[in-house]
Order: sequence, then structure tokens, then C-alpha cells
Amino acid sequence: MIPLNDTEPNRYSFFPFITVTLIAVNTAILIWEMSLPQYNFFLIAGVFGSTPALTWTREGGGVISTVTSMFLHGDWFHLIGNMLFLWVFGRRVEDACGPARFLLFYLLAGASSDLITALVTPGSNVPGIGASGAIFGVMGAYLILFPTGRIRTLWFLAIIPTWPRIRAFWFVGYYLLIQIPPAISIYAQQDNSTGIGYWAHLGGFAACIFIPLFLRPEAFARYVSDTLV
Amino acid sequence: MMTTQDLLQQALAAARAGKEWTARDLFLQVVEAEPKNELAWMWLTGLLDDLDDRIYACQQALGINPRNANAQIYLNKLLAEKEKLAAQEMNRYEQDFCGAREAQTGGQNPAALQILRGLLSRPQADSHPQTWRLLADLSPELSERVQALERCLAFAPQDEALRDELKQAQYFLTHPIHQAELYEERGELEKALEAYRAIALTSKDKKIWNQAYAKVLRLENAKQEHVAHVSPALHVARLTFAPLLTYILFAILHLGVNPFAHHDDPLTWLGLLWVAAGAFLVALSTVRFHHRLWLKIFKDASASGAPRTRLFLAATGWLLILLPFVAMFYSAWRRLIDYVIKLLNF
Repeated sequence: MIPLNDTEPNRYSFFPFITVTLIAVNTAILIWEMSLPQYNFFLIAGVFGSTPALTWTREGGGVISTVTSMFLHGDWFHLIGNMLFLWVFGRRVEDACGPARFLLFYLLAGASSDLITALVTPGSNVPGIGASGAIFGVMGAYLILFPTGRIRTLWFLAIIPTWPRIRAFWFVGYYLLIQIPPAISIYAQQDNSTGIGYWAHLGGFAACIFIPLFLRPEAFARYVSDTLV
Repeated sequence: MMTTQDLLQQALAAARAGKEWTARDLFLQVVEAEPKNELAWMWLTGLLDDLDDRIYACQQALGINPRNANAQIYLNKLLAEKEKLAAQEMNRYEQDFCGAREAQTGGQNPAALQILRGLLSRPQADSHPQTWRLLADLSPELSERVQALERCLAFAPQDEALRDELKQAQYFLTHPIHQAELYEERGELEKALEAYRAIALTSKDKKIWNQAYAKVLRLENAKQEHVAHVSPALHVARLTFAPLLTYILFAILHLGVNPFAHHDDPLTWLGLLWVAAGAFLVALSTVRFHHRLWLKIFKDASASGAPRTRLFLAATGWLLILLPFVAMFYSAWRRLIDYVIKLLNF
């Protein structure tokens, strides 16, 4: 299930400035990473990624790592996957918040994903990188604001590609549900050998409950009136 | 040629013959030719129609001869009569005013306005501040409102709140779009729509026309979709809390998750106050929050922030928000350098 586009139009603004900027910055950083001579992914991830054990011991980059880890990706596949989700869900959430508050919310979701990861796996020395925690926060915000929004989704029926428009609650609900079993397993074993930050995803998603604080006044009035934001 | 004495004799004869109009005209000619003629003035006190004219004639007679007891008695009588008439007029005026007030409380503002506008042509309006106050409250026309407030202020020149209100109304007279925005902020959608429509109809500036037209469309949609009015105070509170929450999360991560385990970084927590203050200012600049403080602190007659004041507030607010974040990042940067050195040594 790959999201392609949000089929609903914007209400308040024409251009998702921060969403596009975030995509551009993330892409530029990956290009820069790869252009480094003797590119050492593990060294960069170790210094600029967010490591739960270092967070507890107050070592490493602290809050810098929290932010830089949101802009680091391991490879093109990792980046394109994340940026596709950001584009699909970020555009209208940014529209409802306004650019500055959307950026703040994005950072809050990223910080929340780091915090939950640090709380659940305090001894882990595996650095976390990627924007997925923050993007899960954006997806959660989308679910709260536009639960019946329709997402154009690429879906393969056996080998035949289809692209139906799926309601946001089905789509986000599916992606949320598939995080839970591996997250429970990681918590039980205190070991994440999958290489995917399931708890970071859930932590980022948890931040979505704060989205009403970030909405522009008109969008908030619509939200509390139970009309389309 | 007739002398004044001849005219007086003719006037007296006409008066005694019961020809009142002729007598009055002749006496008027006499006082015109001889303003100090006491007898002519005395006759005029009885022949003139208007009460004020008769009082004037009495006063003239008394001016010529202050010992004229008849004139004094008659003047007192006329003044008492005038007072009685004035009281009756005032009573009628008060009754009409009460009618306007009742119409207003019954939600019939146009009817109330019609009564009030009728009252303004009466002399009693000049001594009745409540009429002007109600007119200022009800009138949808800013110029009329300004005029009414000016009259109110003439009755109470010491009233600072009234002076501020007048200043504001004068500001809205030149910035009608801000007036419409104020209605919108108060949740008075109908009034706001009416004001935006009026701006769109009268504006010659394309930019303002576009702005007003977009507002009309937006409000009509909001009305159709039954969008509730949210208090600006609630908006300010939640928008203040948003950056604060982000800062708290960052601070927790930066200080080692458990904020109670270490007490060596009070500056980071002090930053909370800065962020709160900055976030409040940014929220205030975002939300049209009508308050007298705008006028008191910023001398901003719009009382809900003119664009320049808002820009200033937003810039100051963001600066205040950013400073503690920058301080936290600086502290993190130093820690990162130490960590990298440790890694390289290892």
C-alpha cells in the first residue's frame, strides 16, 4: 500500500512551503552524505543520529541529535519512502496549521518519537535516523483533522497495479496497526534487530494529540465545530 | 410722514378695537423705531404668539424699567409656563427614548435607530447624553457613530474610556476593514459580512476589494457550515502552549529524559519563561484579540493590533522563542564536540 497523493484541495494556502522545503532539505542532506569522500554511514549516524542510551547519559549531541536525526536517511529507498508520505499527508496538515506552526509540530513529533524510544529502550546503543517518527506524527494529525480524506493509493492485486482512493482512517489505521506487534516484541526483548524504529513511529504518532494546539484559528474553529477542517 | 407717537396711537386704537394682528404689526414698527418704548413692549408681551418672543418682550420692558412690577409678575408667569412646557416636552422625549431602548432590547435595531434619528432633531437631544450613547452603540454608519461619540464626550470630557472609544471609531472610519475584522472576532458574523460587503462595494483599491471579497466568501461558507465562534482568548492560550510544549520536549531530551535527576542546568528551564512570553506575543499577533491594552501600550487606535504593531509583536515573539532554543543548541553543540573528541580518541 503506497500512498500517491491526497486528492482533496487546500483550503487556506496555495503552496505547502515547509513540506516542500523539508523534502528538499532531506534530499540535499542525503546527496551531501553520499558525496562525502570515504562516506562512512555508521560514523555519521553515530554522531548525528539519536541514540537512546546517550540521551539518558546526557552524552552526544543531545537536542542537536534529535533534530539532525530527523534529516538523516540511510539510502534512497529510505528517503523516497519517507518523503512520499510527508508529501501526501503533510500538504494539508501544513495548510491547516500555517507554515511556522507546522514546522514546530513536525519538530515536536520528531522529539516525541525520540523521547518514547528513549523511554522504551533506554539501554539501546543503536542510533535512530530518519524522518519517519515526525512523519507518523503528521499522519496522525491528518487522521485527526481529515479522517475521511481520500488518499490515492498504489495497490497491487497480485501483480496488477490499482490506485483506489482510500479513506484516511483505513490507510493510517493500517500503518498504525502494523507497527504494534513488532513494537511489543522490541519492548519485550529490549532488542531491535529489525533496523526499523517501530517505537519511534508510535512515539511520533502519539504527538498527533497535540495538533489542535498548532492549528490556525479558523481551522481550529472548524475542528471544534465538527465541520471539514 | 408718521411719527413714532402716531404709530403708537394707531397701535393702541387697533388693540382696543380687537384688531390684534394689526396692533401687533404696529407695535413691532414702534419698537423697531424706538427700542426703548416700554409701553409698546408691554403690549407686545400680550400680542405675540410665541412664548419665547413674549418672554423676550417682557425682558425688554424690564430692561427699560426694572421697577415695572406687572412686567416682572408676567415674566415669572411666562417662565413658569415655559418650564412646565419644557418638562412636558422632556417627558415626551423620554418616552420616545424608552421606546427606542425597548426596540433595541427586543432586537429591533433598525426600528430603534429610526426613533433615535427622529429624536436628534428635537432640542432635548442636546441635553440628553443617553440618546447619543445609544446611537453610538447602534449605528452601523461609522461617521454617525463618530459624531455620536463626539457628543457623548462633550457631556463627559473626563471619561478616558469614551475618549479611547472615539479614537478607535475615528481609526475605523479610515480603516473600515479592521472594523469588519473586529466584528468577526466577536463572532458577529452578520455585521462582519455586512461590513465586508460594504467595503467591497465602495473600495476603489483592487487589493482591498480582493481582500474584502475573499472575506465575504469565507464568512458565507463559515455561516453555511455552522462554524462555531471560538473565543480569541482560547486561541491565544492554545497557540501560546504549542511552542512551549515543543520546548519542554526538547529540554527533556536534552537534559537526559529525567528532568529531576540533574539540577545543573537552570538556564534551560528558565528558557521556558522566555518561550512562554514569546509564544504569547506571537499568538497575540496571530489572533485578532480586541483589547484596550493595545491602545494603552502601543498607542494603537485599532485596539486589536494594526498590521505594523502585529508585525512588531510577531518579530519580537519569534526572537524570544528562538533565543532559548539557540542557547539549548549551543549547549548541545559543545556536548557534541566533546563526544566527537572522545570518539576520535577511542
